[in-house]
Parts: sequence; structure tokens; C-alpha cells
Amino acid sequence: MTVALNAFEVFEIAEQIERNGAKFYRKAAELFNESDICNMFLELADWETRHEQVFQDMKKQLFKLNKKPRTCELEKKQLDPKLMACLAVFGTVSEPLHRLRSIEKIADVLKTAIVKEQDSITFYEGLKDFVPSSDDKNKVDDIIEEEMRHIKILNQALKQRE
Amino acid sequence: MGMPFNADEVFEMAEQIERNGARFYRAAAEKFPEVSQLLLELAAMEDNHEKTFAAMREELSGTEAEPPVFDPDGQAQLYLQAMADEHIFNIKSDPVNQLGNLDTPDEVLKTAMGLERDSIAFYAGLKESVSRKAGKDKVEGIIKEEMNHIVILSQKMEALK
Repeated sequence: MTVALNAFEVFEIAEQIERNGAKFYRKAAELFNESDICNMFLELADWETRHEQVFQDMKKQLFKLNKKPRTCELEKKQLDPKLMACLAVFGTVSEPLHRLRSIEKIADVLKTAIVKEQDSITFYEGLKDFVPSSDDKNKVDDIIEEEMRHIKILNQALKQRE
Repeated sequence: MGMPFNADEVFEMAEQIERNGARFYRAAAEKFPEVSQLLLELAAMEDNHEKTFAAMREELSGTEAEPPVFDPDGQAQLYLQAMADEHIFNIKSDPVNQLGNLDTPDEVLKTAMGLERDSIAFYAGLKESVSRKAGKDKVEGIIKEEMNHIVILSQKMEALK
């Protein structure tokens, strides 16, 4: 049976996705000696940590809004919560650190990172329908754009190594 | 691919993604009769998406007054270029070839979810690169439908357990 999520849980998953991403990049930076690749992974980790903070702030904002009478109106705007539970599979089920143990080549780490970034984009596309204000929607769009930029950076690094 | 795509090329790629998806679902339906009805329904939905993208491409070819692609700094185009790179999402490779490695309905459903995820990640960039007039909303609608495919696949996986 698919479990339905509420808006707070959706944001918590988004935070978890970013935490997993940051941990993955920091661990990846430890695994390799090349300074340019280490710096790239550490920069990506910092980026994910900033995203986590943005989602945390949005969740707090949502909590404040939900104390007001507008709650019902917000609930109506939500996308099917079951959908988000299914999309969450991409962002949370495979713990990236666990996968790193069996990955040795830089190219493989880069490919894994690209898939994780795609997972995040997929989840955040769904998350936008949980966001009440257009201002917050823009913030999610900005994060999606940054995840897209990560894919470009990772793909560039991958091409340099093949 | 060194040069950014034009709108025609990007939509052609979207059509190819849908064709690949439909081919995968039809071949998978033949191999796994237990889930064939569901897979054939998904194939038909991908056919409809392909038609939508083809119609959008057709419309774009006739528009001169307003640029159909709104991507002033070229970032969305660069993303699509990276996504279409054979390292990430090789749309030229036939996904039907993946079926040889899949032995159970569960495995085929998981692979299908991955293909849907790839499509959504590509269309997210496509949506950023087209203007509202050129059909941003239609691309958004297709993203939502691909998300629903993930729900359908996920529910089927649970039902098979």
C-alpha cells in the first residue's frame, strides 16, 4: 500500500535528499587525491547544504501558514500525496554513502552523482505543487536550476576523464 | 555535440525519448505477460506524448514573430546538451536491449521507473528553454503524466509483492 505524505513530510524528504547529497560529495572528496576533483566535490557538497537550509526555511514558513485559517485552501492545492511518496523512492531509498563503498573509479562516482542529481530534479518537480506561494515556487525552481548546473559540471568532469 | 541545440532538435529528441519509451514498454509486455496490460497502456500514453511533442515542433516551425525558445543565457540548452550526452542519457541507444538483462516483472518495473525519471529530468530542462507561447504548459503537463506513470509502476510493484 502506497503511503501518502503531507507537505511537512515532503519537505523533510527534500532536506534528507540534500543531506544525503552533501554527505555523498564529502565522502567522494575524501576518496580521491586529485585536488581539482576534490574541490569540485566539496563545492557541490556546500551547494547541497545550502539547499537543505532553503527547504528547512520553507518548511518552517509552511508551519506558520498552517496555523492560520488559510490551511484548507493550501491543502486543496496539493498534488496527490501518494505521488510524492512514490517519487521519494528516487531520493531516499538508496543511501548514496552505502553505494560509495563499492565504487572505486572517479568516472563511476561521477555517474552515480549524476543519477542522484536527476533523482533530486524529479522529486523537486513534484514538490513545487506543495508550495503555497509563487515566491517559494521560484526558490524551488532556483534549486532545480542549480541541480541542473551540477549535472553540467559533473558531465564536464566525466568527459575530461574519458 | 559541441553546439547548443535549436528548438527543432530539442523537440525531436523529446519525440525520440517517447518512441524509445513506447518501444521498451511494448517489448517488455511481450516478455512479461503478467504485467503486459499495464505496460501496453503505458506504451499508448507515450505514443500520445510523442504526438504532442511532434505537434509542438510543427507549430514552432511556423512561428517567426516571437522566438519560441526563451533561454537568454543558454543555460537550459547547455543542460539539455549535457543530458543528451551519451554518458548520461543516450537517446540513440535502444532501451529494448536492456530487456535481455531483466528476468522478473519487478526488475522490468524498476527499469521503467528509471526511464521515466530520465524523461522527467530531460523535460525539466526543456520546460525551462521554451516560452509559454511555445508550449511550456504542455511540457509541464507531460512531466505530470510521467510522474503519474511512476506512481502506476510503483503501485504495481507493491501489488506484485
